[in-house]
Amino acid sequence: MASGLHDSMKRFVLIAIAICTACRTPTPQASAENPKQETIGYPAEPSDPQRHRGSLRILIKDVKIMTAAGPIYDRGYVLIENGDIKAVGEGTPEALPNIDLELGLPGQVVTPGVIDTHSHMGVYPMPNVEAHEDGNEMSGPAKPEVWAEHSFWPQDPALWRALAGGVTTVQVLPGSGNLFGGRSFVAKLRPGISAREMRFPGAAQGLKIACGENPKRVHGDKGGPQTRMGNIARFRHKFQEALEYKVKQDEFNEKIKKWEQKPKSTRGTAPEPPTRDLGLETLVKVLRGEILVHNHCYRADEMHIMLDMAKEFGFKIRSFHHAVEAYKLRKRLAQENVAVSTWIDWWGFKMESFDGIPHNAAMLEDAGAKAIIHSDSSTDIQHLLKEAAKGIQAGKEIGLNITENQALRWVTANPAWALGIDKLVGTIEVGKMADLVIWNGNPFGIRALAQQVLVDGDVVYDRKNNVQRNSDFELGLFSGVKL
Amino acid sequence: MIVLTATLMLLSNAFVIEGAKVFTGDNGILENANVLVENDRIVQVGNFVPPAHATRIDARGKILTPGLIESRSLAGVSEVDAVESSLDYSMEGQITPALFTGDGFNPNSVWIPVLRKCGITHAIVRPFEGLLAGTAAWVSLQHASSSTQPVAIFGDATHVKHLGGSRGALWLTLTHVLEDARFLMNNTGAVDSNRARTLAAPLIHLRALAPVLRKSMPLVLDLNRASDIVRAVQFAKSNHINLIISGGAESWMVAETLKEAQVPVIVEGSGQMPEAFDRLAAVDDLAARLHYAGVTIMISRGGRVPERLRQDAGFAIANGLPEAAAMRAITSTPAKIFGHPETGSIAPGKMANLVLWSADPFDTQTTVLNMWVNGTPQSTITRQDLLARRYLSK
Repeated sequence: MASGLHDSMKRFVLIAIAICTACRTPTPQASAENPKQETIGYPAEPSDPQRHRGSLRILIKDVKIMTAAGPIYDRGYVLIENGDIKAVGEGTPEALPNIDLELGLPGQVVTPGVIDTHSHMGVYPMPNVEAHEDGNEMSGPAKPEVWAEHSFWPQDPALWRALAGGVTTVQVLPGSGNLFGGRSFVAKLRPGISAREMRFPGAAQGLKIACGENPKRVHGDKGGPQTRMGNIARFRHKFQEALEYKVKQDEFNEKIKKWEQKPKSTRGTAPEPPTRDLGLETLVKVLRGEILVHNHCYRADEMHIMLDMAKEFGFKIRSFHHAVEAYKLRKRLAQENVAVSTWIDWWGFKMESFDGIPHNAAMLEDAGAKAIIHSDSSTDIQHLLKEAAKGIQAGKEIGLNITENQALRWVTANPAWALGIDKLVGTIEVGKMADLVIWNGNPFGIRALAQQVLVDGDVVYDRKNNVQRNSDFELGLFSGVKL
Repeated sequence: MIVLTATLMLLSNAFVIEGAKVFTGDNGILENANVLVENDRIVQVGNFVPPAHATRIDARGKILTPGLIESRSLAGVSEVDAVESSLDYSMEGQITPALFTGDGFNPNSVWIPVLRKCGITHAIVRPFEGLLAGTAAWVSLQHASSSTQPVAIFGDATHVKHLGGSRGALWLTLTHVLEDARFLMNNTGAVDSNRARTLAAPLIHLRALAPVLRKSMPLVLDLNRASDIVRAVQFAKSNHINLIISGGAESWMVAETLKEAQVPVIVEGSGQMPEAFDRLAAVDDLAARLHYAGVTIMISRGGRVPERLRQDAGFAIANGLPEAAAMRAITSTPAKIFGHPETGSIAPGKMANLVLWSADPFDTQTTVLNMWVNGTPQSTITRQDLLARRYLSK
């Protein structure tokens, strides 16, 4: 009874907040510099969910705050209101009325929520069984029409563990078996029962493309590509088709505009849109800058080729992924503002990863490129700050002094940029979403664990309550045993 | 005269590491202690005045540990995982215990300096892919050392599908093989005069199991599900063999059984996840739970990103394992269990396998300052370092 009343009240409050918000600030617009534009003549793609906003006014105080925006407050505070960061600074603020929840203890450290540009959680969920292999649509080498969110299983037990590791936002990507793997989506780790519910409102989708060994290995015996040159030839074919499709779309858009301008009596029937091609539609969105390109690519020579090819067809690569040889072309990557999502010490497992070095991120940072530490693993996603710490150390060994603020940006602000959501998350600054982690010590230290994780101003993880096993799949397993 | 003195100095390698915090590997932690090495051995540990002839190494504020040991390594038998021709850890078939990884060990692998750089001086190089996959080799990661010794039989009992389709079939197969190995051990003459029954595996493989039957070598089985582990313990008891569980994701649920049977467990310090149906009860604090239940543990990366051995031990500490226990799990425990008690700890008489760290050895921002194997300083420069240097100026 009581809880029913509480729920409906909560709903009312949420609606009220939503309405107010709509009055004041526009819904976060697509991140990519170009706003989202639906193709005229076709049904619209499903829209984003409403932005969630925590209802509590929260003060985190007496903690060290690493903002990832530059300032580090040795003993500071963060005020959260309406799901956003309302204030942040050194010391303790003047007496604040109406605080619903106080968090923070001396010795604790607050960072922005960790953002991973490369996850297959939900599309390769646990347990790893054949029935769960939904990450690679390898029925052909070019599948730009598939969407990762249509494979995503929101009950993947890994999601809760990533959250417990301080991760608040992930890009869920299709795998790298294809040249064109399909559309990715950006999810907030606010567990829900559908991918759409978890989708980061306002975040652009990505396109996963892959060069090198994987596509030619997977498709070599199934009609190709068999070689690296075959890979590139197919990329060029497909992008050429996309250019031609874009011309058709543009012509149609012109036609329909002219048609609409005519008086209704003389219009006649509306012009027919060109036959819809869902795959090319994705690529046209890439050409228009509405979908961000994430390119799985290990070797320096191939990154050069991909950058040249992108120039040829007039699109941007937002981030290379894995990119273990990025240090070999770090100046070009800095100059062309292409982010690099990489590991510290995954290398040598295949030929194209043989030249991977732990100094990669530090050398990129040194050149002014945007370095990102990504996981590509449901395990390593739980300790990305520890991975970044190794990057600081590797830099030191070759005389590069990487600051903790810079290394923190490798897992917060820089991935936010790569996903086109850097105006909304990735640093602790006033006006950004309150996606925060409270650690029980230096977050780069091996002993530090996340104590609380906040998403949109809600405490979604608290180590005390062990919500690590909240997936429906894990419910009732081993009942009576303290896991 | 001068020549003679110089020769004597060369012959007598003596150095003292002064003032370090010393993780002894088995007797806890000594603050501000000296360690004297002569030739290849540790001579003295504690507070003492160093002898005049010993070179002095100032280690104040630093940490000295035994060389770390990886209990399930692929060092020297796997160069590039996706390149079949660079892999030397397996053999066709399920019952191949005679396969010895030492026969394929490559001391010039690019991984070996990388492992040294992470503080690892010794490894148990294991075979893979098979119910009784082969015999593991104890190797030293000393520069250009190619000495390898057989130390254990390893088997992967997690892939039920390949072994007759059920867990019951797996235990039948193992029982059959061990029975025949014992029969062979006790009836050499019968086989030689061609009067033996049909055997469960080729003679060469059955013979390779004799050290396990004599308890001079342990049998290491990869297993995760609690009930499988209990079954393995029963199996070890009835066959009178020394068992080690490797993986053991759900071993904490049957810790009492393991403690009672004195069966050690090789665990990973991170990545405990419900990845498969045999590890749905995986827990982050697996190492700590086993430790507090009185089970002997070793921590291992098992071949995947082997650089992270100490990091994994660090995660176990973050999840409740005491520091000294974490150090034992990657030094003295594997040394003793795999038959090399002369290494893995810092005490008079032990081999001088030592690592001097810039700070906390478990932390990822710490580096190896010096490493000695058998008293000889080791380089920790890797091919990766050379690549970094080559491109730093470009």
